[in-house]
This record gives sequence, C-alpha cells and structure tokens, in this order.
Amino acid sequence: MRSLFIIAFLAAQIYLPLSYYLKPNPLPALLDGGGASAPVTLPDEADPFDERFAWRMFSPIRVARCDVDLYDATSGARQPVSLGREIHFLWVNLMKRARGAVFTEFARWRCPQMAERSGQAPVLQADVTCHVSKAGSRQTITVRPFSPDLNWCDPT
Amino acid sequence: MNASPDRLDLAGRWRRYWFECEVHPLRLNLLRVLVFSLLAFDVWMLNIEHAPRYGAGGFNVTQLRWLDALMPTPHVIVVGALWLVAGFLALQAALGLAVRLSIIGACAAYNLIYYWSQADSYQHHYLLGLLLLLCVFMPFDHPQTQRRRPEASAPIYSWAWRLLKWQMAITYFYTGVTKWAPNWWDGSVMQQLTPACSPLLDHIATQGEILKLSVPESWRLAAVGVMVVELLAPLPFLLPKGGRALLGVLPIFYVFIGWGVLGSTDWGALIAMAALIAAAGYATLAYDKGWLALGALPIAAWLLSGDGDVQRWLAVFTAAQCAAIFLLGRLRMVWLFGLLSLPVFHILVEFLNLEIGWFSIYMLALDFILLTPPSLWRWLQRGLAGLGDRLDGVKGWIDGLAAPTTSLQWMYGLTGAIAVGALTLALPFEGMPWVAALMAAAVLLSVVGGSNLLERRPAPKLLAQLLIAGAMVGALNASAVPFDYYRFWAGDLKRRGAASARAVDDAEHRRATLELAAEKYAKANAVQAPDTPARHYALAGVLDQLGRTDEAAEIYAEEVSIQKRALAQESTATRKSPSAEGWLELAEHYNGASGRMRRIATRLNGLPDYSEIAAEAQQLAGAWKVEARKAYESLLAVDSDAPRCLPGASRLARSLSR
Repeated sequence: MRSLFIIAFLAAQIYLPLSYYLKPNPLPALLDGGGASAPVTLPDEADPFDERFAWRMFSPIRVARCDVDLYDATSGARQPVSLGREIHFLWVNLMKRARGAVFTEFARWRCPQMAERSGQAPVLQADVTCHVSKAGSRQTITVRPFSPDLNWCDPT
Repeated sequence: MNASPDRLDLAGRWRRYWFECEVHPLRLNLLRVLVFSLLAFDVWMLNIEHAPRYGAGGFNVTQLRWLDALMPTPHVIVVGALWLVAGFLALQAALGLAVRLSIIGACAAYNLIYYWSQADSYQHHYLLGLLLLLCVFMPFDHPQTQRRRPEASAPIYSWAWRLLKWQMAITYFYTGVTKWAPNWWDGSVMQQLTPACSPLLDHIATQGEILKLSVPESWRLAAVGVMVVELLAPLPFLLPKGGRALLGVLPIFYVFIGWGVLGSTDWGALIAMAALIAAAGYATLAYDKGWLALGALPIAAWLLSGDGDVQRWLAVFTAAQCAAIFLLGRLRMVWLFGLLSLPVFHILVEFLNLEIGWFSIYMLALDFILLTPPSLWRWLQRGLAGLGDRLDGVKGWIDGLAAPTTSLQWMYGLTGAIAVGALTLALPFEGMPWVAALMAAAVLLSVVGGSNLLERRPAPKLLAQLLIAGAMVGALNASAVPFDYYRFWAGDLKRRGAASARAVDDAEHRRATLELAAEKYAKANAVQAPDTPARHYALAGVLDQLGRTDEAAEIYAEEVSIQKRALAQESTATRKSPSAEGWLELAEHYNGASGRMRRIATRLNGLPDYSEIAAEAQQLAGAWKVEARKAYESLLAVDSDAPRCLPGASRLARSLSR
C-alpha cells in the first residue's frame, strides 16, 4: 500500500508538470523564430498560459501581459461587459493571464443571466490579446489564446 | 548464500531505498517545529485578510475542473474558519500537542481551501499543500523524537522523508526546465522581473566589468547560471554523497546545455567535452589524485566552446559546476552543492521583491533541514542533550503530575475547549461563533487523542493550548489583518454594487450589495483606532449611493477633522525621523487627502449645517496640495533617484504636476 502511494505520488509529480510540455504549444517557435507581426491565434488544445502544477515559477509566460475585453453579443451588436463590476478583481486578473478555466466558468455563471434577460440564445465573446517578449530583442509578439469569434456560452 | 546489501533483488533494493531511509530525530523535530510554526502565522497573518474574495458574488473556479461540479461556492466564513483552525492545529503540532491529529487537520483544511478555488494560484501554496500531505506520514511522534539521547540501535525510518527529498528535487528541476526558453536565456525575462534600482543591477554590472562582458551579456550569464543550477539541484537531494551515477548524468547534462543554450552544433566539440567530463569524473571518483584532472574541464570548455565571450563564460560556468559536483562527490559531500547554491535563489527572490509571501523562508528551512549531513545532527543532538539536562526540572514536573482518570481528562478537555472557544470570540472576523465551536472541537479531540511527552498530562497541554489561542488572538488583533479583511471585502462589494453592473440589472440586488459594503466599511473603521483615517470617506461614498445622504454628510464632516489630526501627526513624525519612504508616504497622503477635501467641499456645499466645514475643506484642499509638493521636494532632497526607484513616486509626480 505504501509502495503504491509512493509510485502514485511520484508519477503524478513527474507527469503533471510534464503534461504542460506535452500539449501542443506554438509559443516557443513563435518567440524563437521570426514571429508574425499580426496577432496569432493559438489552437484550441493549446493552453500555454495555464502554468498551475507545472512549477513554472518566474517563467517567460508569467511576465506576458494580456488585454481582455468581453462582449455580450446576444443581440448581434457587441456590448462590452464590465468585468470588474461583476466578479471579484482577482478573477479579472486571472483572465488577464489568459486562464481558460476562468473564462469557461464565467460563461457558465453569466450565460444563464444573459438568456434570462434577453430571452434569446446568449452569445459571449472574449477578445484576449497577449504580448510576450521575444528573445534577443525588445520586441513582443501578440498572440490570441482564444478565437475572438468563439461563443463562450456555446463553445461547441 | 547470504544476500549482501549490494546483491539485493529489485524488490529488496526498493524496500531498502524507501523503507530503510534513516532520519535523525532532531531533523524531524526541527522540520515539525519550523514548518508548522511558520504555517500557523502564515495563514493567520497573510491569508485570512483574503478570505472575503472566496465565493465573492457567487462566482468561483476550482483548481480541478471536475471539482467545479462537486463543490459548492466557497464562503468567506468557512474559508476564514478553516484557516484559523488550520493555524491553531499547526501551532499545536509545532509545540508537540496531539501531533498526528493536528497535522492531519491542518493538512486537510489547508488543501481543501487550496483546491477549492483558484483564488489562490500561488505555486508555492501548492508545494506547501504537498509538503503537509507528506508530513502526515512522517514519524513525528516516534518515541525516539522525544528522547534527549536517542538510541543509535533503534533508528527512525521514513519513506515520507525520502519522498519529500524527491518532491524538492522535482520542484527545483522543473523550475529549471521552465527556463529552457530563448527569452530566459537572453536574460530579458530576468531583467523584466527585476525592479528598477534593485541592488541586483549593480551586481550584474560588476560581474560584467570583471568578466569584460556587456550588461546584456552579463544578464545572459546570470540567467543561464540560474537555470543550470536549478537543473542540477536534484543531485544534492537524491545523490547527497555522489556516486557513479554522476558519470552518466553530468556529461549528458553538458551536451544538453551546449547544444540547447549555447547553440553549438559542433558535435565533435560537444562529444569531446562530454568525454573529458566523464574521464575527469572517473579519475576523481576512482583515484586518489584524480581530482587534479578537474581543473582541465573549465579550460577545455573555454577552448572547445563557440565564438563570443559570453558563450565561453557560459561553457566555463557549466563545466565548473560539473567539476565542483565531481569534487564534492569524491568527498561524499554533493549535498554541499545544494546547501551553497540553492539558498542563493531564495535570497535573490527577496532581492527582487517578488510578492511570494514567506516562501523563501520555507525553502531555506527545508534546504537546511534536508541537505545538511547526519554528522551535523548528531553533533547538535549532543549539544542539545546537555542543554536539555538543565530542563530536567520542567520534565520532572510534567512527569510528576498524576495521570488523570479518563473522566478527569475529559474535564480538562472541556475546560480547554470552553476557554479556547471563548478566546476565539475575541477575534473581530465574521462567523466567530462557528470558529469558536470548531476550535473547541479541535481542543477536545487533541486532548482525547495524541501521543507525545504531554500524553495523559492534560494540565500542561491545556496551558499550551491557551497560549496558542492567546498567540492567535493577540497577533491578529495587533495586526492590520482585521482592517484589511473588512476593507478588501467592502471594496469588492462597492465595485460590484455600482450602477448598471450586472447582466440582469437588479436594483434590489445592487442595493443589498451596497448595504453590505457599508456594513463592512463600518466594521473596517471600527477595528481601527478612532482617530485614524481608516475608510470613513469610502463609507460616506457608499451611503451617498444608497441615498442615506444625512449620514454621509456627517461622516464627511468627521473625515475633515480626522484627516487634520492624522496628517499633523504623520508630518511631525516624518520630520522627526526623515526617510525617502516616509516623505513619499506623507506626500501621497497629503495629495490624496487634498483630493478628498475638494470633493467633500463640493458635496457639503449648500448644506446649511455644514457650510463652515465645506469652506474649511475647500481651504484644506489647497493647503494640502502645497504640503504634498513640499513633502515631494523633501523626498527629492533625500533621494534624487526616487522618481525612478521608489514605486509610486513617478505617479505622484505626475499627479502633483497637474
């Protein structure tokens, strides 16, 4: 039993950080290479900004800065969502670090309210642009962790 | 045929490696005392003020996606209660009271809160949670840990101790892997992390001058140096005495660094260097004078590395690290590599002023306890045994106490539970009756359970528990934690109660949120001394939004006299012992108060009962702007670099110039 615990503990501690590196992540190539001048949208399965459980203290990603704008587009027109007035500021800060799980939960929490108000299928969109420093220069590249057209109320 | 230790089968080796891992009792005791006393004050002094963010507005995201469906939204009272109790139990464990039970309770409470919400995303809190989990399995209550002179014939074995070393090795190694990125290697990330005017900047410049490198090159050397040492950090934890494994690990490590970081594709040079490292390492480990070969490694690295001075220094640095580890391996002292190099990171982090709480202290303590050699602990034990002999009177007193009957023990338990519960009620946080009940239950459980020196001697146990509760209540009441707890809470409620906030604009909900904000601001003010500015102005603002204008006007009027007194006191104190930080704070306070006075004057203007106060506020607004400028000039006289170096100074300068 003790041996099983040891094996499980070690396996988890080795695998969890490793899983961060096993996910597709185009960022290193973008940072290393010529880089595109236009914002690059990351593929859906990439989640380089969620560094939890990976022991990525003081990582190059940690110093990236993201601008976040959320829109209620239920009526067709994009109405800005004032995040700081709806949820605690800590969640806004995590959104500024492009944490996908926070966007997902925010949508799960807010979309029913939007549907109730409008009586229509809700549409919540997020425009997130992150600026990451490039190596060997003072330039940054701009990436979009999520597609700006994605409806978070119905991500499928 | 006898199975010699070297000829054990795989299962035997596994058993010996994990289940015959010997730990000196003093090491265990120090780990328990240091980690759990730090934890107690950590959760009380740094965490509790953040309890109101948990579940604020009914929104939460757990650490694990599947938990979102299982766990209810956390509540400030539950989170606050769990942290208070976790701290109490941690201090019980540190003092040796009901050790196992207390550690299990503290571990469960701490980890529950961590995994319940991403409101706490600090990786070092995750590490602390893992450390607590491993502590649950440590033999802290082994009889040998309570002996002044432990018997050498009955060593303490602990697989959890070995696992903790693995955990540290994994953590350091992955922090090194994190830095395997071009924008770390070129030093740009490290530069971004370093605050303006940090002493580290001078060190980098000096290093550059000595090695004849430009400042960017010097940053590069420092950044890669950090990564190299972090990647090598598992060795002192897992191979503290070295061994032949180093012959495989270090040459491969050099090739990786040469190829990845130094960008060398000259495979001939890389393989030649790896072969040299292996040969010099073998000579060192196998022959008496073999260590002399190590001197060749940095020279060979210099000759075989690519163009550019910084490339060469990086190659030399990496080769020198390999040489140092082999040399220490020869002396069976690889642990010393970790003990000398790893604390540098944690001290560096403090230099960089990164907000990571007490993490550096935990890590310095763990590095010391885990990496120091057994001989040090035996020596310490001998010294402490002599000291302990002088405390025979205390132990004799405890031993001399009659072991009570079960009913008497319960009576002690109940007395302790009531006393600790009553003490807890003196804390100014929300939901204290619940916390008091939890504390009482913890006290009862630990009197009934427990195996330690004080077992079945409940009187001193009761005394210790009262001391812990007293320390908790005293430390928290004397700190700014209660004020921060309420003002953070009120600030969030005020933001979320602002007009047109929610998707479903519910006036009633908004009003209730603002009412709550007013209540929390009032509590924040109540826990501060009556003549401190606290959050009176913010409270009046919320009351205004609620339409309670008369109450608001009264508080605005009070704010004028409170600010006058507070600024006069602060000004006198700053002039008495001037410092750059003091002048900056005074200038900021004058400037902030000036703005508030202007708004108060506008707000009270036209109200017949407050016309004099409105006029006074108007006059103070102008006068304090002047005082703010004077304080800022005094700041510049003390420290002309302040606008560049002191956080907030340049913002203040912009505000004052308007």
